[in-house]
Amino acid sequence: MKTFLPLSITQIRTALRILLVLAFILGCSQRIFAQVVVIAHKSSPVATLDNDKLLDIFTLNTKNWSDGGKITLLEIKGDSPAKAKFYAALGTSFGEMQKLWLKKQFAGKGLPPTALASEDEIIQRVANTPGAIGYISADKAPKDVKIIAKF
Amino acid sequence: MNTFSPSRTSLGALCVATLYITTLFIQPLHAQDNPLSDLRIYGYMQVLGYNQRTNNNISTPVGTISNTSERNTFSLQQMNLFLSKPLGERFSAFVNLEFSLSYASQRGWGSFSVEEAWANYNHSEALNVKAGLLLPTFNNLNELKNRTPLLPYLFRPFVYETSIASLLNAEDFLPERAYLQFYGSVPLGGLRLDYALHTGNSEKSYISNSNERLPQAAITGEDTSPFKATGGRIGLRNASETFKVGISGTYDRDNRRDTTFGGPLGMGRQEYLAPLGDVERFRVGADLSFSLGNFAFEGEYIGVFHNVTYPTNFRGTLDKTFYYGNLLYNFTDNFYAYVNYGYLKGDVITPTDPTANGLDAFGGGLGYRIIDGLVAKTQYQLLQTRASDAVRLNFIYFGLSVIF
Repeated sequence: MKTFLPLSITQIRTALRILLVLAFILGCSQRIFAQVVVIAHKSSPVATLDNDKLLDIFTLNTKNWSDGGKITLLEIKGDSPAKAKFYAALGTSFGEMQKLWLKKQFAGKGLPPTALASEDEIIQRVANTPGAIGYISADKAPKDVKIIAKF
Repeated sequence: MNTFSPSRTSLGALCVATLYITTLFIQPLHAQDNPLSDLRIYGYMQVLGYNQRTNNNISTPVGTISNTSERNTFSLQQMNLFLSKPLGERFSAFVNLEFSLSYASQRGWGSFSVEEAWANYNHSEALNVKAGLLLPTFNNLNELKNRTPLLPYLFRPFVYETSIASLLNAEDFLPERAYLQFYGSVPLGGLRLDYALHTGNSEKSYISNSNERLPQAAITGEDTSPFKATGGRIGLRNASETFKVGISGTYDRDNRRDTTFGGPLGMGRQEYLAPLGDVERFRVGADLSFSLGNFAFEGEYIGVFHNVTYPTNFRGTLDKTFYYGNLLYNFTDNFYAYVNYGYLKGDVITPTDPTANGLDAFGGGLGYRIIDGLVAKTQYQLLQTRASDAVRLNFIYFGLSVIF
């Protein structure tokens, strides 16, 4: 029996497999290579922060900005590619940070970041709260906040 | 002569007036930012059940006495309630209330205590001042010993275990209270150098809650000793605290005039100890904890030394030693296993003391995080006297740690 397809069934299967693998790699690469930016309120006294300073802030070692203003930490609820990328860039993981925050909270040495439901909420809160700092995906970075780090 | 007797009407008027005045004060508070709005209340509890088997073989002049006993029981090992509140940009307040061993005053069970109540001033990372009733920084575990959800085990290393504190007189090893602490950290290379200096009352046996000779001389809970306890810790750690090392020390007096102390491990010792008076005491500590891949290790040493001239009929020593190590392996983010070993040598008063050569503790266990804030734990623990196997206690624990 003749077929009207220019490719054989085996070739079509192989092509589909390649497409699936490519789609998977593309999906992963978006997760792996998605850029994350750290945003702060426009009145923040810093222009940029390196990883060590950010780690000090998110581990609650540093609680005040250089001008004495209180730092308000914001966090995304649940899992997200930005969250994984951000903490990996700081050389730690969200699980490790959770343990540390709990330890500091129980010792009265600080409170964990306020967790918000979405990146949009983080942007809004940072824009409206002097002293606030959070991280979001780079493609969402708006203009009414200050970008102080990029990974 | 007329005496004042408030009628029902005048009492009612008084109540209304009080309410009115109270409202006058409350209204402006609400009009401003509510001072209670940042108050946070949170806590945790740990409930456990355990099986204990005890084997005693005690040598006496008339022969060896052996007995075995077993018990199974449940208890609310500990429940802590925290209240914390930022006071402006630099100050904060913190209160830690602790209920232990199924506390019920009506039944005479357990205990309740205000473990901490302090205000903190954060000048900078390098300088913080904490004033009030506080847990002083000493080694790694002293500030964390009662934070049960942070600990992988149920039965803590000897001197940190609240449920046997009355047997060991844990205060002989650890500073349990302070009232003023300066602390902070400064960057040092890629690490942070931590320091803490604290001061407070001497040990609680100096604190008078009754004075038969002069009942008016001391207010309940006041330290009536003329000297104080001072101490501190200096250490290194990384920012995320996956590596931490430090040394600690304290200087105070050990009340050996006290004739009231004597738990099961201290029974009959007063007659030897009482004449020693106020003994200068130095506690020295060292701690190390780190994570490496899926492994996590923590360990501590405490040595207690006394500056004392012993009477001729005293053949023991007041010096004490304690150390422990715990090795943990995380199979997943939610499941871990650990093994530990601990050693403790308390007062040695007579050569026949069954604890003269110290106690060993061997243990191990598992933990599983069911969801965030809820961890199921189990543990096996063997405690035995080192020299002659005179006392051997086996514990099997099952517990649940809950954060709320």
